[in-house]
Amino acid sequence: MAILINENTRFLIQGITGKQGQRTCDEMLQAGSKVIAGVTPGKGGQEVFGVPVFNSISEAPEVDATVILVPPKFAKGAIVEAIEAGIKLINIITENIPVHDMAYCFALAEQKESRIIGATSVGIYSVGKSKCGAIAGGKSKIAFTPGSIGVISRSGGMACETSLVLKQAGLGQSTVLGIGADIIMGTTFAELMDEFEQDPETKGIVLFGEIGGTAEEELAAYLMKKKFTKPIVAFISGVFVEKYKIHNVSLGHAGAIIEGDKGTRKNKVKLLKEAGVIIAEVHHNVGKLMKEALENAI
Amino acid sequence: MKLKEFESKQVISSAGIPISKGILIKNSSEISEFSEEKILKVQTLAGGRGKAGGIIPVSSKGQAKHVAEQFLGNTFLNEEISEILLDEKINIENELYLGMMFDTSTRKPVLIFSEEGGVDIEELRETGKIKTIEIDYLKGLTEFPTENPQLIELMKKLYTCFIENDCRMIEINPLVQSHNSYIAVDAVVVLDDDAKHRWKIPFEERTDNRKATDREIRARLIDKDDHRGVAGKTFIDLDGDIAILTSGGGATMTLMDALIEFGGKPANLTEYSGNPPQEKVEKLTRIVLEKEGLKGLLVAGVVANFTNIYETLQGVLNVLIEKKPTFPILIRRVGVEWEKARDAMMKAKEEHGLDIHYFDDKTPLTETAKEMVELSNNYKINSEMPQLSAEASIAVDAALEAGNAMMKIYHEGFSVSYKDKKEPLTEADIASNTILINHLSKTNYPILSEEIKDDGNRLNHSRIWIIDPLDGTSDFIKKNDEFTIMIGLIEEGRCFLGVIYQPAVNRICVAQKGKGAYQYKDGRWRHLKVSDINDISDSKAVVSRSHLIEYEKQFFQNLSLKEWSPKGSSVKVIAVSEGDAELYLTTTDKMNQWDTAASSIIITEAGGMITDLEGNELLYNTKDVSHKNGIVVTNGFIHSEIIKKYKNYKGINYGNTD
Repeated sequence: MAILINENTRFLIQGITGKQGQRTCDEMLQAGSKVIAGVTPGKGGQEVFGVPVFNSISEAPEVDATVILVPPKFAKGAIVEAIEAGIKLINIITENIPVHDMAYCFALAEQKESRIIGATSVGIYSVGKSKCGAIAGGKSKIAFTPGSIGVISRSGGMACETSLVLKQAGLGQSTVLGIGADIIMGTTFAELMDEFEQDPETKGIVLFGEIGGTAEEELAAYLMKKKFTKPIVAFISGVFVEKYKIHNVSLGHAGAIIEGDKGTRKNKVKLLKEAGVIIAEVHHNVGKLMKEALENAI
Repeated sequence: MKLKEFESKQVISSAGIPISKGILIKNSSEISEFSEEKILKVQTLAGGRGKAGGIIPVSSKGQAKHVAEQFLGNTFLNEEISEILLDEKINIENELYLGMMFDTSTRKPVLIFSEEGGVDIEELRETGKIKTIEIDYLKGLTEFPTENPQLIELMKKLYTCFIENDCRMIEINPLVQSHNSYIAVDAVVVLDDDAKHRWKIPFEERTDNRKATDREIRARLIDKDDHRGVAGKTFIDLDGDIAILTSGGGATMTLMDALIEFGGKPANLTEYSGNPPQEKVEKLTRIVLEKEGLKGLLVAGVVANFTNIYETLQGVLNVLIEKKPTFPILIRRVGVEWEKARDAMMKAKEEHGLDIHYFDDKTPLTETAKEMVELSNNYKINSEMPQLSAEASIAVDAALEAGNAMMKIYHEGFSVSYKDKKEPLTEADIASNTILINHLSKTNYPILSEEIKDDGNRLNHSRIWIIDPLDGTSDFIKKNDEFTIMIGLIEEGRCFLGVIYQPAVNRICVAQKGKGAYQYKDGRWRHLKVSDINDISDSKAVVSRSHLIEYEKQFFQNLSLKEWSPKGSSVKVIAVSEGDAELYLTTTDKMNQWDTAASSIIITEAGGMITDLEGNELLYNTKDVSHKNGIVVTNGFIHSEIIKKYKNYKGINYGNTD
């Protein structure tokens, strides 16, 4: 089972001939993913680790999901192409895509019912089955082990560390994914909950959240409305940033009007706690807390 | 990137939005004669400049020059001021608010409009006066929160401006209605850094409001001509003493949070990642270690996918070998060739005497922040401790190590058993005892410990250690932080050197005969000195938390003290030694020499007194190790009077001890 991707998912890699594209292709094949095609305009006819490369998606065979590894300036074109081609799952690994380009893609994806994970996503890993993106690449494989905990992280590196801490607590992972930390994200915590709830393999969820944005608040609102039967443990970073006032760009009055108190760690933690989420004050406690929560659930 | 007012107005004006006409002044000599009143506006990135006095009406060239000179080149709202806008004064009929930004929950741009503008606009949030319109990016702005055609026109221009300039936010506040037109009197624009390649106006880069420090500027230059990996792109000078060299954005923030959670203070924030070459890491390390007064270095990151740990850490090691810092260095790096990196670090530790601690993926990332804080605290205590004697250093080291072990048990859980069916005992008592004996055995003096059977051999020696590995086991079990480790060195029956460590709050007291008493607390060493209160009615007493009996209570009540409060273990004696209280008295016959040895020299060297209830000096390394006749600790000034009063009290209430 797992969510989003499994051993049967057929993948396309957009930007397959670039350095990162090639490495990701190799890693995905090694992890057992079915990479059936790649796209790089002008490089059609080549092969990357045996995967055929096409000039455009229309030439390529049908796939279930695409991984975007195209440089930021060209990412919008690639994403639009994927949406127009009807690909239902689009995982964007590329960082630094202009926010207006993403806003356009999100609007189009909503209309055409494609789902975007990212941008700035580290990838998706249904542990032991299939992966896409940079997740569990190179040495970081050692952090993952198949099991029953779903992990959703706004930080790529901390998706790995969170899995490692769970592993040390004797807990493996079902699906681990990075949703990115951009100001607007294609998919946020709340939008993954239904799938994790329905996944029989997943027994609990661990989240890595950050200050800024409203993804954590939306999850809290979701949990207040909908019944979620599995324990959720979350770590929300931001103590340092708030204490030392190292803010991202302040959005002034407009930010205060639209977001109010949202975005602060204090508010996120408060709302999540009220919604029944277990908060780890120090990151390495997420494993221990999840273990206790699972034992209490029995 | 956030723009200043004059830059923001440049952006919106280019989209056809009318703005108040101002002249940008960089030097007061640029101000020329004017007739009508103008508004002088200091250009800052920070908000709130109006309230802070940065917006000033001026009516003449002379006045404008005078005001401009006060700001230009000086610091205002933490920013170095280099521009002033000499703006036209608009006749205000009405102030409105108009803004646009992305709503992170809908992923759509949102138009914000209010017919009431001004500085406290966000306070109108709950009143319904602020109207918002969600915008479908595929369709554009098609709905308006007003029917006023002039405003609708302005909103269309705002949307075009927002789209065409890659804005993350535009805010016009106030938008002023004046003589049937609308004018933007103040504006803030935030541009999207990721769209820099297509910005219409190439604004100069800035990182935050504050002027960058020299270190920050040099660190950011590391990446300038070398795009292999990232090193120093993010660098912020901070006021702490633990140098930071982390890898990865989320990991850095999580580590910093943990460092603060465990009481550490970072000296900087910086990050390297993406497999940068050795030279870049070396340059960054050099800048990080430049800071004076460092008490530790933390080099950490999550398990790296492809970063060559050996190559990158060589950059760190080169600088360490060159500078040979004495503070602890904690490394947690796993990735390509990490074992080779660890071996090189361990070799350098041997050869150059560096205090390196290498951790791998068996230790969670944030656990290393805790280790770093502990190592750094111990280093601080040791390196800044007053020079007393070799024995004092040994005793302090012993106490610190035992304390760390004890705190691990304190946090992770323990079981309680009862010795002689009375006194509680935990794993912490045993662990602490073992560590203390290991350290103190270096001196070859016999050790009398609460936790070891006394074989009497000590009686043949003039110098012995007397230790209580965990004073206040009941406080430890209750988890109230008031437990200590006590180490006393006895010479010819009197305590000569004493150390008391309270690990839960990281404070340590040390005193040596004739050399004074000192306490390390809140990050620094200070002299311990009793108070000079000499009137009992002004005095405060500390009493036993767990063993106070009615007979004693009555006595304290009779004394008419200013106040008395319970405290655990030898923390009571520390309270008198540091002048927080004047009296500690117990009538029990259950006290033993290990409960008082270290305290006795600390209180004496702090200027106070310790005796039994009859005023007799306490003697140590005697055959019977119990104090049969209670304990009185005072600041010295009230000692004889307390003894006298107790004698009277006892005369009347004798036999009434329960």
